[in-house]
Amino acid sequence: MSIAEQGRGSGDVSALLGRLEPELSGVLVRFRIPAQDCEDLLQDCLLALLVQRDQVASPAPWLLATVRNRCRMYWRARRRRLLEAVDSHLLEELAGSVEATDRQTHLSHDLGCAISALPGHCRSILRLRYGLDRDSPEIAERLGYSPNSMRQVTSRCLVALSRKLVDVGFGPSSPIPPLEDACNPAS
Amino acid sequence: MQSCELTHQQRDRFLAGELTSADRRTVLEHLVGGCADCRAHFAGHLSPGRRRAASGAGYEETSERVSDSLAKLIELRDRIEVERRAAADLFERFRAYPPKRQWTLIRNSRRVDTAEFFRLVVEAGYQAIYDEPRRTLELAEMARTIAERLDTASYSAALCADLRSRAWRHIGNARRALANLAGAAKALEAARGELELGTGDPLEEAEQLYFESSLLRAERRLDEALRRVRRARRLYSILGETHLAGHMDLAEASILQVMGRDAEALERLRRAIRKIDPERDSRLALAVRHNLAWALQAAGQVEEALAALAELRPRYFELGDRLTLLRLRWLEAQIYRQQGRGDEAETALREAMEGFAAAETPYEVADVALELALLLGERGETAQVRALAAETLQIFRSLGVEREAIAAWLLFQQAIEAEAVTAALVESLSRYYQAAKHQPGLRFELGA
Repeated sequence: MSIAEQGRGSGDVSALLGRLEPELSGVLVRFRIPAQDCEDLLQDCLLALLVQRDQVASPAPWLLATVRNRCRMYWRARRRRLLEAVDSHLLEELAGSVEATDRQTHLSHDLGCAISALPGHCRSILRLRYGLDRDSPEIAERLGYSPNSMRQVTSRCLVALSRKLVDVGFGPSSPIPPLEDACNPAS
Repeated sequence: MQSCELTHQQRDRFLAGELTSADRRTVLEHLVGGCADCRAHFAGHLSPGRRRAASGAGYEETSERVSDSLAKLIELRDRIEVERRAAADLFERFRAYPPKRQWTLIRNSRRVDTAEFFRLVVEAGYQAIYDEPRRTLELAEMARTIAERLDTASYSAALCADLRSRAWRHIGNARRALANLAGAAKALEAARGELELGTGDPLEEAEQLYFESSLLRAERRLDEALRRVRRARRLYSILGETHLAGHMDLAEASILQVMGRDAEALERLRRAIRKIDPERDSRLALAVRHNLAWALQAAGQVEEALAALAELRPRYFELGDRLTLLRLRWLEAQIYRQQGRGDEAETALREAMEGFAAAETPYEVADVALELALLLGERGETAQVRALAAETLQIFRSLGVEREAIAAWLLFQQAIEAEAVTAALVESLSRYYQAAKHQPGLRFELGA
């Protein structure tokens, strides 16, 4: 019996799921979903199947496709939260008093180096965002983006920045090199 | 390098935005400061990748969790079954109420707050879209009221997001049918936003793509419309939803016809007929066969069109609603014209025009009137053409048609007076009125 035919005409969802158990486990492992999150993720998909059982022509391919989609969404949501955490923290740290603290100076420096290594359009966006404290609509107007595409482009640039911050690994304890050498990897 | 002092829990709370400002700073400094553990953990979020094999470390633990989930299924299944029966009973009563009383029930009773009742309301609305799109909109708004209240403890936040998405999507589709394209776009955007928070149900995604395609077609963004409907069809095919994939073939054919790609449209229609299940949706089955008969006669394949129509005729009367029968009459007129039966074509076109006027569908009136004008013009009956044009203008004014649509008709009248009506002008006006149906205020441009 093909995957598409499994479950068709069968009133017993439990039997179907018993047959799919190894495949479902395989999907979750391949997508590297942490074990502690697997149960909630799978429960969401199973509940959706039960609620619309009569509207799903072929439950087996539906369930496998849904679980795969859910796994992708899991990582997208986690990545979005990481980017939001990095972004809001950077905005907080770099705002504030006129006289920068040592910590702010170091962070500003590290951020500047990371941004310098990004493509041109990202440098423009992120310098306006962190250097001049401009919000998205202002940046969009200044650089000629539509509001919708601004969101997507900013998100991609934040991903690139976060990767640089993770890769570069400068820290508050590192001595600050002279400005002209600051962002030269050879120095 | 020192091992990381942060725990998994701290890192997860960082991601969830649950740390204090000072603690967030600590995590971020670890990240930027070169902590290998933190870098590895967060790098995994930026590019999680996939394993080649579904085995090895973690498989056993995951497999146990999967078994635990399946074990809890029986309880869930029984609860859903009880809800389903209760919702069906309640919906039978709900259907018989007048709209005002339906709204009272929706607003005041919590018995309607189930996924099954929600689904029945949405489905009832969707069935009404052919004849009563206002009613579709109203039912979709009722469904949204229910979706906003559903208990995430009973249904999960992700499933509730799917249902909110579905409600918004149907609101968007109804607005499109009512020619409120800007409102449709907003609703579909809201639906897309909710879908991002949902369960990942591919059927919801496919329906979203289909409705987006319909809106894009109304906006005459035809290449984008084609891409969306083809993605929807691929999804349905992967899921074994042959009937719904056939529906997408029909939708694709409609787009191709607007693009003037008639041969491809014909091929899609034949494919759609093989897939669409008449038992599941008799109206859709009739629509696809009607469209095929229309496409055949337009391609000059009159005998095939006649054969298709002969087989199909009883189904029009089975459905029996006014607009369906008017479309039959219009199709008959087309075939009579192709066969050179001018008098019969004229009679059929006049009946269709009167019927569409009575049904208050002015853009269909315009289309039929243009064909009738062309037919009368070919026979040299100029006075009749003038009278027809004047009658149509009166219908437009009585139905409150947009100023631009009236302006286009006045141009047509001027061409009649100047005896300068050509097939190209009629074709241009016909395309205009088909587009203007979905875009009130659209201006007519000759040759567009």
